[in-house]
Amino acid sequence: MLDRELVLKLAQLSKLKLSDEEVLKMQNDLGGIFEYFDILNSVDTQGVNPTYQVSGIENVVFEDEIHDINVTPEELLNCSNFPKVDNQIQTNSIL
Amino acid sequence: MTMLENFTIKSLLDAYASKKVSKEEVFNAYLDRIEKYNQTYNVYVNFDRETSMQNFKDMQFQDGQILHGIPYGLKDNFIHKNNFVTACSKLLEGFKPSFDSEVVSKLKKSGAVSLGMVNTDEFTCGASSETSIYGPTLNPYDTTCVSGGSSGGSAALVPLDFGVFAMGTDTGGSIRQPASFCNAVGLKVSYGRVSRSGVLSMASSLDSIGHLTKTVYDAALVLNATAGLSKEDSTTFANQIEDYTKFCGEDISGVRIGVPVEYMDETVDSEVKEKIQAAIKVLESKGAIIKEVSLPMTKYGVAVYYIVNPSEVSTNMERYDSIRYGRRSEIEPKELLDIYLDSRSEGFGIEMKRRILVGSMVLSAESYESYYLKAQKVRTLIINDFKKVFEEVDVLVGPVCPIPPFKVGEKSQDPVTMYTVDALLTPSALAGLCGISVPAGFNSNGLPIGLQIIAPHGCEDRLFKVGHKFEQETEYYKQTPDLI
Repeated sequence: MLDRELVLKLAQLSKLKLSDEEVLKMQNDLGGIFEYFDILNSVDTQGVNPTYQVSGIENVVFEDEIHDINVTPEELLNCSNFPKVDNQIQTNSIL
Repeated sequence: MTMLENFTIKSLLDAYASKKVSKEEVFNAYLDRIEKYNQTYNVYVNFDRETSMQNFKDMQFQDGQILHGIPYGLKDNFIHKNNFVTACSKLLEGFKPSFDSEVVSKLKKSGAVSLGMVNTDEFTCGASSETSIYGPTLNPYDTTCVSGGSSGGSAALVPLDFGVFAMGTDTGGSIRQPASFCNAVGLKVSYGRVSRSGVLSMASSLDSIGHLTKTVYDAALVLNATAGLSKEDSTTFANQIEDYTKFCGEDISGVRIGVPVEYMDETVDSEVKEKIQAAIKVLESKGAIIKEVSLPMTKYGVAVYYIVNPSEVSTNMERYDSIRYGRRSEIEPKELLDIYLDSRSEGFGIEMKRRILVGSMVLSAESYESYYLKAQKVRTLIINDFKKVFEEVDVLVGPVCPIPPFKVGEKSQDPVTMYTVDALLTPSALAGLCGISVPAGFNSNGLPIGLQIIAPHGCEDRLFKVGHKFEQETEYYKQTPDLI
C-alpha cells in the first residue's frame, strides 16, 4: 500500500485529479505493482549497460524541406473544441 | 451472404479475378454482416454505414493493386481521415482526424478499403479489451470469454468474417495474444519494420504495427503493402524483401527450432501445453530439428515491461491536453491548469491513470535508478538471452499465452494478474523481435490456442516459412464459430 500523500503527489505531477475513491484504489494497486517489481532486485546488473532503444539506428538525418501533408490549417483548427481567434486557439490565460 | 463467409485475401482476389463477385457487392455484404451481428460481439466501434460507404467511394481502385478491393477493419488507434478515431477513450470522443496515418495511406494505395474502426483497450493499454470505453469485445468461440487485447476487436473480426483482415498494434503482445484467443494469425513485426507515423503512440520504444489475418500467406501479403523505410518514422529500416509470400510453401527440413523450457513450465495450462507439444511434433515430422533451449530471464519480462511501458505511456499521454483536439471538459476553467486537470481526469479511464502514475513514479529523481534504470539494464540481459539462443536455432516456438481465453471480468480487478497474462510475449517485445501467432487447435471447452513463433529482428521470412508449413498441415483456421 502506497502512502496517500505519495499518490496525491504523483497525481499532481501527472496533471490528474483523483477522487477519494480513486486515491484509495491507486494506493492499493500501485502498492501491489511496486511489490511485484521487487523481483528485479534479485538480478545482478553490475556492469550491464541499459537499453533505451532496440532499432540499432543512430543519427537519422533528412534534408530540411517542406513536404506536402495535404492538411490545411483550418482542418487542424477544426479538431479543437476551443474558440478560435485569428487562426489561433483561445484558452484561459497561462499566467 | 453465405457466399462471403470464409474469404481469405487470396481467395477473394481470385474471386474478383474470375469475376464471380464485384467489389461493391462484397463490401456491402460485409457491412450487412457487421450490422446484423456486431451488437453481440462489440467488434466495431462508432460504426456508421455511411462513413464506411464513403471510405469505399473515396478509393482509387486500379488494376494490379496487391490488396485490390479487400475490405478490412482498422484498430481504433490508427489515424484515418474523416472517421472517428478515439483510441476507445472518452478523452478522444468525437475526434475526426484530418489526415491518414502512413499505413492507412499505403493500404489505400494497395487497394484495401476500411470498413471502420474496431475495438481496443483504451489507448491500447490492456490485455482483454475490457478497458475500452465501449466495453470488451466478446470471444467469437464463447461469448462469456474475452477476445484478448489490446487488439481484441481486430482479432475477433477475423473468424467472425467482419472483414478479410484487420490492422493492429503490438507493444507487449497486443496482436499475438488476441490472435491466439480468437483462432487468427497475428503478426508482430520487428521494431521498425512498419512506419508508426499517424498511429497513436503508447510506448514508443516498443510499439509495432502489424495485422491479423486468417492465414499466414495473407499475413505475408499485407506486409508487402505496409513494410518499408519511412521519412516520417526514423526508427524504420529499409525493406530488403519485396515479396514475403515467396517464403510460404518453402521446405522446413533442417530448420532449427528452439523450445524454451521457460515457455513450457508448470505455469502453462496442461491443455495449452498438450497442443503446443502436438504442434512441435507436426514441425518435427516435416523435418525441422527440435532443440530444447533456455531463456532464463523470461521471468523478469513482465516486471521490466511494466516499468518501461508506463514510463513511456506517461510521457506520451502528456500531449492530451484537450486543447488542440479531443474532448473538452464541460466544467468552466478558472485557469489553464483546470483545463488539463478536468479534461484528463474525466477522459482517462482507471488503467490509464494507473499507468500514468506508475510512469511518473519510476521516472521521478528518487526512483529513477532503482526502477527505471534497473529495468533497462535487465532489458539488456533479456536481449542477450535471445542473442545467445539464436546462435543455436533459427526460430523459437512455444505457447502465445500460458492460459486459454479467460472469462469477462475474471482478471480485470487485479492489475498484476492481468499483466502476467503476457508473460511469454513481453520479453520478445522488449527485444524488438518479430513473432507470429498461428492457430494450434482448441481446448476441451472449444476455446482457441495459439502457437507462438519468434524470430530475430528483421527475420519475418522465417515466421512465414515455419508458420505456413504448420498451417498447411493443420488448417485450424477453417474451424469457424457459429454466429449468434
